[in-house]
Amino acid sequence: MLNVNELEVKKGDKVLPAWKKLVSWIRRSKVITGPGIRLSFTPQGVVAVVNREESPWKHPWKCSVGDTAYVRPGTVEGVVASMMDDNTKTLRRLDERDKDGNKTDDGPPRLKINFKKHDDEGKFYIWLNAEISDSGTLDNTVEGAVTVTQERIKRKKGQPLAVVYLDESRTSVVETFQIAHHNYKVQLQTTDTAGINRQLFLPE
Amino acid sequence: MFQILAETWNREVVGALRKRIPFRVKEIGGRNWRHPFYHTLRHDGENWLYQVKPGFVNEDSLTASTFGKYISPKAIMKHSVQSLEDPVSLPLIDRPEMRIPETRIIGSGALPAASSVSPAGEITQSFEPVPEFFKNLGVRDSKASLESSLQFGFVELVNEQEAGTRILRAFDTWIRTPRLQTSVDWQFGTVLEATLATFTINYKIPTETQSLLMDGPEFVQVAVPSEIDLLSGLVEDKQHDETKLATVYFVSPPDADPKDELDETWQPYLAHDIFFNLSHRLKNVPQPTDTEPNTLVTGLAGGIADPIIGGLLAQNNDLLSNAAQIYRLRSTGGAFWSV
Repeated sequence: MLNVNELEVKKGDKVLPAWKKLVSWIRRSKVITGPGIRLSFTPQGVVAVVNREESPWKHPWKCSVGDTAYVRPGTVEGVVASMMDDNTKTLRRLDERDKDGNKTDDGPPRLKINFKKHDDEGKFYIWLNAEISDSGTLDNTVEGAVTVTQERIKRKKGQPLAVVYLDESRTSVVETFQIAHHNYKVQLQTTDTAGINRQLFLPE
Repeated sequence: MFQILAETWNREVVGALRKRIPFRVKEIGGRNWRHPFYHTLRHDGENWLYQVKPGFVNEDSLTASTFGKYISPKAIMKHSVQSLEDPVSLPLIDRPEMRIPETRIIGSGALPAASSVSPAGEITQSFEPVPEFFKNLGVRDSKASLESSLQFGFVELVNEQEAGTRILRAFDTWIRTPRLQTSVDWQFGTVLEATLATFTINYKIPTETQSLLMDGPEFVQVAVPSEIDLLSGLVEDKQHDETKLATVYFVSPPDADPKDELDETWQPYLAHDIFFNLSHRLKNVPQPTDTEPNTLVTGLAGGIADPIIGGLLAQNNDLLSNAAQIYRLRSTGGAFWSV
């Protein structure tokens, strides 16, 4: 950065060193564009329009929770998850498509939040459930093979998408912490002799 | 020859520049996405403090340790903190700030990471390398050398420093997640022509119950011990798994001394290693049958069993193979992955 004070010349001194310093600074100070920056070169000078308001990262499973919850589409083993839509009272795909893959006009499904469904700390989870058989396969022909639900406490199966904290009166959402950021494939890990397997959700 | 008077230069050129420089650009708009475990730093006038954006391991927020004066009034109430000087452990979702721990020096002024002496008495040292980014800022590689005198029996570290050199300090943060610890108990018996070595694999519940945010001068990834070492008890299995979160660097002003205090004139830089929430699992989940004793017949004559287990196993590759196989299937060392 140029210190303008360094360009001052005392009476009787030569201007040339200050001139060279200024030229050097101008060469170094070339204005260049970058992401979100637009330059207009006018006779009056350079106008730099900086618009750094980048759209937030639209990752899978991004949860927005208020009285209802919106969840951005995500997949498990390539199957798009569904959610109980408060508008239509039906299980609908998060990507706003019907079972045949055709786009619908109903908008994204909205999950109604039950404010009585929380733990002692006043928190609940937005939870991803996948119907995985004991052999480790996902039956994608079954409606609701991959669903998103509200859960009071952690479940033994599935994957939390977000944890949501309510206010002290338990009537509104204070903060939502996003947990999941990826689409998933599932592996099973045997956890006891009864054959109950832990579902391990791995990024796909 | 054309001449510009100093007065004209100062008025027309310098004066015009004064009106236009420096210009400032104020950023207006949304913040960029910050990932879980993102670190931020600030100097409160006395100390450097860091804060970590809430991140989760197996759906639970990491727990950090700090003091009452570095948490919000709301968190003070929530965790019943009596004094601002009291230590307190609380989850990252309560937004604690932590005082930075002791730091290490990298480059100029650093101590050697390792030293060795050749048979000829030549001393070789190695230092943690200075990242290229910081070399461009004026940090130089360490030129410390060990000067020794065999005659007088002393070794002295001599640091040479170039003029204008900046000092680089750093500390690491990491996650510690508790897990079952695997241990092995051995018993010996004899029959007519052989020694029976019986080992039982046990599991100890860890004392910690939550994943912790750790910090210190340097995170050391412990090398995984061999199964024979764990099996024989030469190395004890741990009650936790660890993974590095970030390195926080501080660059001094030019011409600093390695002993200079880390004050607000130092510039912090961050290098994250983890960008998403994590899941953690045990390699093996113990089954009820896993704690049943396993008997190995050594083949050695009764009564002369080697009391050293490592030596006993070394007698017979098959025996070692069998024991290691059982241990491998039942030990609990865990793994992290992003979700």
